[in-house]
Amino acid sequence: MTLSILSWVLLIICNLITVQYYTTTSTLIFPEYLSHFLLSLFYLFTLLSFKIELDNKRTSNFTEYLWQVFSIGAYTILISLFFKFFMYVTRDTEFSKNLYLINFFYHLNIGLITIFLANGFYVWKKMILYQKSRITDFAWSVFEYLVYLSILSNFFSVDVLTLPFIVVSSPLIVFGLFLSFNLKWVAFLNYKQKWQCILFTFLIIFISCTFIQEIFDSQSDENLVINLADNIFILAVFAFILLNCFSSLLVLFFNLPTSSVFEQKFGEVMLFQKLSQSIQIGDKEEEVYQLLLDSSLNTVMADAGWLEIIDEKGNFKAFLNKDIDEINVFELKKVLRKNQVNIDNEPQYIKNIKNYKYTERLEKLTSKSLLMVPLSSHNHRLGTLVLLKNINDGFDKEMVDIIFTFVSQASIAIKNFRLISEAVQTERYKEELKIAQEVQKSLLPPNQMFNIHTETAVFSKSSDEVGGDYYDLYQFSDKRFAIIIGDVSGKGTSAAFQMAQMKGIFQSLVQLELPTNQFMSYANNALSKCLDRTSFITLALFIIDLEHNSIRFSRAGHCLPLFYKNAEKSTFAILSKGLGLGMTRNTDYSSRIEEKEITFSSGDVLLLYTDGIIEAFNENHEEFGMDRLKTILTSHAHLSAKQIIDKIIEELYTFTGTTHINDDYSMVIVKFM
Amino acid sequence: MELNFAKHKDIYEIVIDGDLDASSCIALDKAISDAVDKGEKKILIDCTQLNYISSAGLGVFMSYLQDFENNKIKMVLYNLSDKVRNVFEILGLDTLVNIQSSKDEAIKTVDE
Repeated sequence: MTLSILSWVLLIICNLITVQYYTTTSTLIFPEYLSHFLLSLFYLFTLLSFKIELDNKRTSNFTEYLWQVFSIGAYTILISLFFKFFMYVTRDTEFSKNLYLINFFYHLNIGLITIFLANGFYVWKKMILYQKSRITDFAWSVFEYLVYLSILSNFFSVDVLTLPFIVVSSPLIVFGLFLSFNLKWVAFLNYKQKWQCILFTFLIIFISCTFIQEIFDSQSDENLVINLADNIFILAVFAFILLNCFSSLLVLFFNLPTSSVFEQKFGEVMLFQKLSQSIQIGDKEEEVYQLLLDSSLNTVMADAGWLEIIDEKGNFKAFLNKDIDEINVFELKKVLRKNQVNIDNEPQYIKNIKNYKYTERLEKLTSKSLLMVPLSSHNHRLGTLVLLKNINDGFDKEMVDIIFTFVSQASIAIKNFRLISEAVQTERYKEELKIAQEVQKSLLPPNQMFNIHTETAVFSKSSDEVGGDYYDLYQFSDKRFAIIIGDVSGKGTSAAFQMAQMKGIFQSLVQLELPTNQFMSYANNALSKCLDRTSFITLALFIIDLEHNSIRFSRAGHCLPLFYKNAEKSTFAILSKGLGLGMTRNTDYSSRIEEKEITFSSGDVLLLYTDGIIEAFNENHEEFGMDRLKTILTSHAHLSAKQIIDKIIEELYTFTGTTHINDDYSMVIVKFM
Repeated sequence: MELNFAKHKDIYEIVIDGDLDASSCIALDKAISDAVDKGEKKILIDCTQLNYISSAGLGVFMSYLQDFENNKIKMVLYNLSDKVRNVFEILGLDTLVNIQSSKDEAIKTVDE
C-alpha cells in the first residue's frame, strides 16, 4: 500500500513538473515514459495490495463482499464528487484556471478510480472462484495476467475502437465474459440476502457509470497530462466489473422465485444432519424425540402432532404432543381403533378423519387429515409419530416421503442410543464381576506358605469370574495350624456368595479350637439357616500338630483327601464318615460326622482337592479320576509342594486337552519336612 | 435326560434315563413335586440308566428329605451304577436317602 501511495505521489510530482516546464518552455523535462512508468507502477502496486488483502479474507458471506465494493466505491465517488463540486463552485475564479490544481484533481481521480477498480476486481475474483473448478481457476489466472499486461498499454497511446485496440483487448473480453458467468455464489444466498445483493449491485453499477462518465468528460480536456479514456487496463477492469454486475443482477432476479424452495430443501438437509448427529455424546434420547416431532411439524407445516415412544419391552416410555391435548389424542386413537386402523405397524394416511364413523366426540377437533408413521428398527417397534392438518387431504407425496425419511433417521438414532446404553450396562456388569473376582481372590490365602516343618502350596481356578471353591489356613501357634478345603454346590456368583459366607464361618469357629467333628456340626447349623434347599457345601478340615506329628480331621462330604506315605512310597485316600453341610436341618448332624487321626513323618504329603479335578473329562468323556491323581502324586512326591501342584495341573491339562475346564478346581498340598 | 413314569398299585415309579445335571434336574424336581402333590406316598426311582449326577441333581433329592419325613412319604432309589453310588457315598447322602440295589428290595423297603 505504501509503495502504491509513493508511486502515486511521485507521479503527481513528475507530472506537475512536466506541466510547469511545458507551459513555460514547451519542452519536456522528463522523458514521456517516466510518467507512464510511474502510472503503471501505481496500478501494479494498488492491484497487488488489494490482492494480498483480499486473498487473506476467508468468508462466504457474499453480501459482505458486495458491501465492501459498494462502500469503497461510495467513499471514492464522494471524494471525487466533492472536488468536482469545488471546481464547479470556483469555476469563475483563478482556481479553475490553475493548471496545477486541475492536474492535481485529475490525479486524485486516477487514484480513487484505481482503488475502486482494484478492490472490485479482487472481490469479484472471490465470488467467481467460489467452489471453483480447475477450468475456472485456470481461466482466472490467464485473465489476471492479461489484466496485468494491459497495464503496459500506458506506454502506447492507442485509440479506442481501432484495430490494435481490438486485437489487444479481445482476449480480455473472451476470458472476462467466460468468467463473469461463474455465479455459483448466488445459489447460496437466502431470499433476503439476494435482495441486498441486488441493491448493492445497482449501486455499484451507478458508481462505475459515474466514474466512467467523469473519465470521458475529461478526455477532451487539453490541460491534462494523462488521459485515462484510452487506457486499456482501466477500461478492461471497468468493463469486467460492469459485466459481472449485470450478469449477477440477471441471475439474482431469476433466482428470486426459487430461493424459498431452495431454502426449504437446504433446511431439510440441515435437519437430517442434526438428527444423525444427535447420537453424539451430550445429546439424550429425549432430545431426539423433540427434534423429530418439531422438525416433522415444521417441514410439512402440520398444525398439530404427537409422538409416542415405547421401550424394548413394549412398555410406554415417552409421550410428546404439540397443539393437541391428551384427551383429543386419546379420543382420536379410540376412533382409529374402532375403525380398525392399525397405527402401530404400518404407515397410515387418512384424508379426512371426519368421514369416519364414531367421530361424534371429535366435534371440537379442528384437524382433518392425519399422517401416522410408526418408528421401527429391525422389525422392532419403537413408537408412532402422528401429524395432523386442519385441511382436507393436507399431505402430498413429497411431504410423506420427507416424514418417512425423518422417521427412519430418528429410529436409527433412538436404536443407537439404546444399543450404546446397553453396551455401557454390560460393560458395567463386567467391571462389577471383575471387582467381585478381586474381592474373592482376597478371601483366599496367599499361594505359598513356608514353615520350617512343612511346605504348603495352593492352586485355584474358576470356570467363571467367581467360583465356589474355598480353602483357607489358620495358624494357632508355630506348631499347630488348621487347613480347610471346601466346595459349594453349583458355580458362579451364587456359589461365590456362599463361599464368602463359608470363610466367615471358618474364621469364627476355628478360633474355638473345637474338635474337627464338632466344628462341622456348628458349621452345619450355621449354614442350614442360610443355604437354600438344593444347595450344600462339602468341607474337609485338618488340624495339623507338628509337635506330635499328628493330623486330626473330619470330612463333610468332600472328595477323599489323598495321603502319600513316604515310608511305603504309596498314596492312599483317607476314609472317614461324614455328611455334606446343609443337607439336613436336623440336630442329629453330629452323629453323621466323625473325627479321625493319622500320624505323619518326614516326606509325607497331604493332598486336598475339589471335585473339579477328578471330574474333569477328556474328549472321550473319561474322567481324570482319583486313581490318576494318586499315581501322579506317588511319582512326584519327592518334589517340592509347588512343583507337585504344577505337575498335577500339567497332567490335568494334557489329559483334558484344554486349559478351560468347565468347573471350579482347586488344590491344597502340604508336604511334611 | 428323559423321565418315564409308571404306577403299580400304590407305588409310583420314576425312571431316569440319562445324565442328571444342572439343566435336566429341573424336570426331575417337577416330576417329584407333581407326585407329592398327587398324594403319592411310595416313590421308587429307577437309576439303572442314570450315568452321571451333578451336585444340582443331588440337590433335588436332598431338598425333599425334610418334606418326605414330615409327610411320611417313602422314596427309594435303586439300581445305581457304582459311579453314581460312589457320589452318594462320598457326600454321605447314602445315609439320608434310601438306596437299594434292586427293584425287589426297593419295593420291599417302601412296603414296610
